[in-house]
Amino acid sequence: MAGALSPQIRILPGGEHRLLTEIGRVDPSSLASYREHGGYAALERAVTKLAPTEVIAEIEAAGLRGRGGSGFPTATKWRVARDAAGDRKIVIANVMSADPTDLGDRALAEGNPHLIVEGLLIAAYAVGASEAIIAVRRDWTDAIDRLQTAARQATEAHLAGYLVLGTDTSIALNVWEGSGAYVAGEETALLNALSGDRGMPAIRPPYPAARGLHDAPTVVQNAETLAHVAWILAHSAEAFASVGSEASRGTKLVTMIGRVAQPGLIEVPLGTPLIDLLAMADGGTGTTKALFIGGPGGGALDAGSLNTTYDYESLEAAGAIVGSGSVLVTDSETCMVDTARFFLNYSASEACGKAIPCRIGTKRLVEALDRILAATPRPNDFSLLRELSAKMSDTALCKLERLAPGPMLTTLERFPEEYRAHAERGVCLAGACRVSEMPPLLEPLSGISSATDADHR
Amino acid sequence: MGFGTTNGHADGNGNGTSGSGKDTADYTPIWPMVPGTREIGVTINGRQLQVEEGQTILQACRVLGIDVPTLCYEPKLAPYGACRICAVEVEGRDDTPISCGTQIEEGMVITTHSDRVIENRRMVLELIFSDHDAYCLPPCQFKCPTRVDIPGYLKQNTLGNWEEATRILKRSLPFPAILGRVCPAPCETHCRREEVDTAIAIRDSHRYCADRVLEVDAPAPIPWPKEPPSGRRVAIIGSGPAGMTAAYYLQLRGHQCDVFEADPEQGGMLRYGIPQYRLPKGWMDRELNHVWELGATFKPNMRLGRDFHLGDIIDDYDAIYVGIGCYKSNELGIPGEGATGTINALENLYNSTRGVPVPRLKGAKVVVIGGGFTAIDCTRTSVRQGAAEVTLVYRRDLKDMPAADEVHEAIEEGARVIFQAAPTRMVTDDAGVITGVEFQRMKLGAPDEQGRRRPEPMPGTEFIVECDTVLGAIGQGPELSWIESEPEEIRTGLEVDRRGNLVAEEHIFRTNVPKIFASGDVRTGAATVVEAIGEARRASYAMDYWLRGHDLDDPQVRRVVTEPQPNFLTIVPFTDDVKEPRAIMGKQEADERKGTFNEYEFGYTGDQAMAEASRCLQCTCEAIGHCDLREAAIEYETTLNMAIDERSIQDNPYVGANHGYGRDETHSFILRDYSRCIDCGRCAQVCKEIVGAGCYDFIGKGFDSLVTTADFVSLNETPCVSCGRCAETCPVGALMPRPRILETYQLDVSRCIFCGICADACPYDALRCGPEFEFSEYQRDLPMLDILEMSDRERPTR
Repeated sequence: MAGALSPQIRILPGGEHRLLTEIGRVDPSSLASYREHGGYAALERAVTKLAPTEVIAEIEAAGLRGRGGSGFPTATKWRVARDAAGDRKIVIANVMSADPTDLGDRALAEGNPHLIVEGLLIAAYAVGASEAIIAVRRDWTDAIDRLQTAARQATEAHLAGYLVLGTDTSIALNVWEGSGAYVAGEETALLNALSGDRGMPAIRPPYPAARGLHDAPTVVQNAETLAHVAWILAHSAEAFASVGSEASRGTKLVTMIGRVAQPGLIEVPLGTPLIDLLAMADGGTGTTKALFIGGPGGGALDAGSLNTTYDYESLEAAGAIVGSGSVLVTDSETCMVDTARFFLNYSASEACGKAIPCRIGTKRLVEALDRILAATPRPNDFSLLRELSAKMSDTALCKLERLAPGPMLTTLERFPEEYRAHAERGVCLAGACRVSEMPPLLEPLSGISSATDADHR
Repeated sequence: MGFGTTNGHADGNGNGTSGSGKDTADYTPIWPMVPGTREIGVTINGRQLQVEEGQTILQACRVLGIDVPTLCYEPKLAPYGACRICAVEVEGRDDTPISCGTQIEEGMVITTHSDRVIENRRMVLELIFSDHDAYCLPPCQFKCPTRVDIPGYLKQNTLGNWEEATRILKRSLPFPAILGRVCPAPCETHCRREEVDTAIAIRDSHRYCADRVLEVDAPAPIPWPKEPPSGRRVAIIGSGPAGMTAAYYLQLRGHQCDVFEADPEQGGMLRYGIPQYRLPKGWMDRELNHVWELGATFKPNMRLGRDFHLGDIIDDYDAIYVGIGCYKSNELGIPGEGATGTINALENLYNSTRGVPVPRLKGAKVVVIGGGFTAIDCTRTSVRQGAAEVTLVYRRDLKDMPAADEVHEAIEEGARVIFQAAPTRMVTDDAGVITGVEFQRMKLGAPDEQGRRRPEPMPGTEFIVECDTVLGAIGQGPELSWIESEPEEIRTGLEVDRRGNLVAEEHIFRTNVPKIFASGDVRTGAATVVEAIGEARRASYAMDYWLRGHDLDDPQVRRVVTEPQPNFLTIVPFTDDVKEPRAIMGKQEADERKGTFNEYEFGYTGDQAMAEASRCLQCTCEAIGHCDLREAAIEYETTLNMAIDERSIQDNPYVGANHGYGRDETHSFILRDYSRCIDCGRCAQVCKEIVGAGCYDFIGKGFDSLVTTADFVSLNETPCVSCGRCAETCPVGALMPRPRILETYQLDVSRCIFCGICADACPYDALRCGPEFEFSEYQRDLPMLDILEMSDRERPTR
């Protein structure tokens, strides 16, 4: 079928499929196919039957929180933007996939692009935005193709553009390609990139919802969030909120990778215990050593914490984050130090270079880990790891910088013996010290460094 | 952590005028608020204050005169947030918000200098220095006690501009020809050229240019115009290097100096301690006479304590400078020391340097004990006096010997040198006449605080060196017995420390007695000539300040803040392949020179001096004196030792990979040095937002990000309009107005129409419309703009 997903995206059964239901069934290049599956009913309902404030109220009733990582209540953000002064308002779908281990956004963009478009248009209507932009990373050519097709089809069908569905609402819909840098997942960095500058975070406040792209109030939502928006309007706020933990309602796309028999994408209610997530990916719980949850800014939970539930609050309390929803499973043959170094090095090499402590500090942390891995530590390397991390988090410009030491700090706290063995004896307790020798673990990561410097500028 | 001790921030009260000693209880706004704006009440550093609404925390602090450091903040632009060092603590917030980007709000409780933000600022600075391949002062200059502008005079030497070179030297040391012969050249051991091939001959180079100036029969160049007479009179006690230096600079500042000297002729230890073959006295007098050229008067044969007392003259003068040096030899402290045949080393040199034969030494078997310059001078003098056999014995090894450079020359001349042995007793015959000295072998123990390994005796290794004459030269101390005969208030006021030196305050050199200052060897104990000169120059500045009616406590406090000069200098060794051998001075062969007291080194030829000076790598930063990074580093005591081998990871825990970028001198007006760039992004912002040219941006990713032009192209290939805004905003020396060195220019007076445009355009008023309607030629004897001198003068911190 014409709408095949990229090979590394496998959708696993289990959990509760909402956003994933139509992927594989709907033809991503066909508006008619999407409509056959009930598409654009939500937009039609919103635009023709509901006032913008009612849309926001429904999203609020559903308790939807941003799926891009921070979990900020979507309705609150929209309301700020709606109430902000100004004729020009902008909504943006962030399909930059900041976290390279995350497959959810790509699956949606490739498998059901109209779902993102529909959610974005609903958001535009609710916020009162006249412009909607889908920002997608340049190396996802299939996703760009399909999102562009979807945007064109939607505009031609008067679902977007001038006078949407015959109402007096107009929403200019465009697809913007940008180079996929980790930092572009940060909304102010994305806005800078969109305005033609180098994608680097800016000081917040002002928050984009008050003053964003071209100084207009701007709502930036992650692709998955927008898909949920469309789902909520198509079903109901109650249906959405029927699952989930107390503070985190609804479902979440989670990418299971690493030492599991069935790596792939799952959709689970927030609040599902980690052990259930593992079971869905056929992870051998007996051999699991740690779960790195949340990507480069996340943290490691050890096997003893598998009863932790997967939601914003529990994970944060445990030292990890939901992030964009990746779970890297490691087993007894995975070196914690090397894995921590891998994530940290990713943060260091993807740093935009703006904040001085981030540009140099992450590099120094990687160097300290390298010295520990090489059994040639300096006497104060361990205190350097802890103190520099704390000071960097204290002075951080953006969230990615603040969270960058996470995988290292949590492994240092939970697996100190592996660090000590490396530092003092030059022994890897896992017996395998190169992340690169574990192909299944990192397959989804391949190609993440393809963005060149020229693109990045 | 030592931070709070210097500027009083430890109590959490960043007071913005750190160290000025001013009572900072009142934060008075430096300009009044605009009428009609709303005032809000906030608490900053524990003080209830009224500020204008709508400001950022940083703006409010600046108005109130509270110092918050910044690097990336450009007042003309929106806050950028790259450097993070302006962060402050706000009560009720977990993080430390950056003050440049946070609006001040009613009731905010702000601490600008809590331990937490200080530590964070220091972290940022240390991280910057871990990737900052740049110098402030070049290491040679930093290691010279006088801090003379070495790259500056070497540059003039390359042009053969000997007079200008000498003028630059005389800003910091008045006697470059003398030091060109007797200085141990601590500068050369830290020369960065050593990383390429061999160090620059810094001492030999200034010997050459200063000699050229002494040769010509013209008034000596002076570092800056002599000030008009101040009406103050200063008595200088001692005409050695310290006293003469103090007189030189005080005289230049317009104070009338009388120089008292115990001996019949000027020079102190220069004349009576340093042998003729190292420092020809006639030549030395030529240079010392520059002090008299400036109007000081000489009072010879006036020994303190014998011919006069300070009490006699203190009412006649506005200040007294005591620079009497060290004339008392230390005793060996071994049995038989007073036996016949022992000679006081200084007395011996005193006689020898006056050309008086010392009959005792002719044909004698001499043992010299010690390793300093006095010991080596005694050794070589004894050879020249005709001793049959000379043995120098030193308790440490050659590496740790102060006079190590001269040892091989002494050996060439026939002396014998024994290392790692210390005397235990004099061997005498029945008549009490020396027949030998017993020594004990020493092994080298743990290093002391100077890094020299401490000698430890090895019992049972005693041996005897036969001799008939012993010269003990194990150091000297100041002769201070004159204090006892002073009147009450001076006798009780002058203090002697436990090492026997006269006590005077560091940095300002004031003693407990009003009007009396002291520096040089009398304060520090026996040291080198260059150290005495460095001390004396600083003392003269302090005295000048005091004589002009200022309060010395003020510079004292500021000195304490700025004196710990940061050593955060090189990180990356110099790697360019520019090998060129060092020029070596010619000298007489050992056989020729050992029988005579004539100077044996010939000095450079002009070509040699120019070639040698052109080897200098000019490791100096044009931004010194107005570099925000250096200012912050001094304030936050962030340092990195300058020499590679001295650097330790305790100094900067973040030392790691670093960048060595090139330098772009292609543009006519903007000089770019990427290695100094801290990636704050100010130039990029200013160029884009204000100028509209957009020449700069960040390129690269992660650690390798750099603010520069696209693909490092020359500014000539960008839309640059040469406005200089980027150089103006740069907080460090990465972007500088390019010094425009006009070496020659031609003026065709026959074509001049006297339009006056050149006079209008000249940025320095070098050309002016004068009353006579024609051009006049002018000699360039007015002083150059002295960046280093400017940097020496502390700016108040913002």
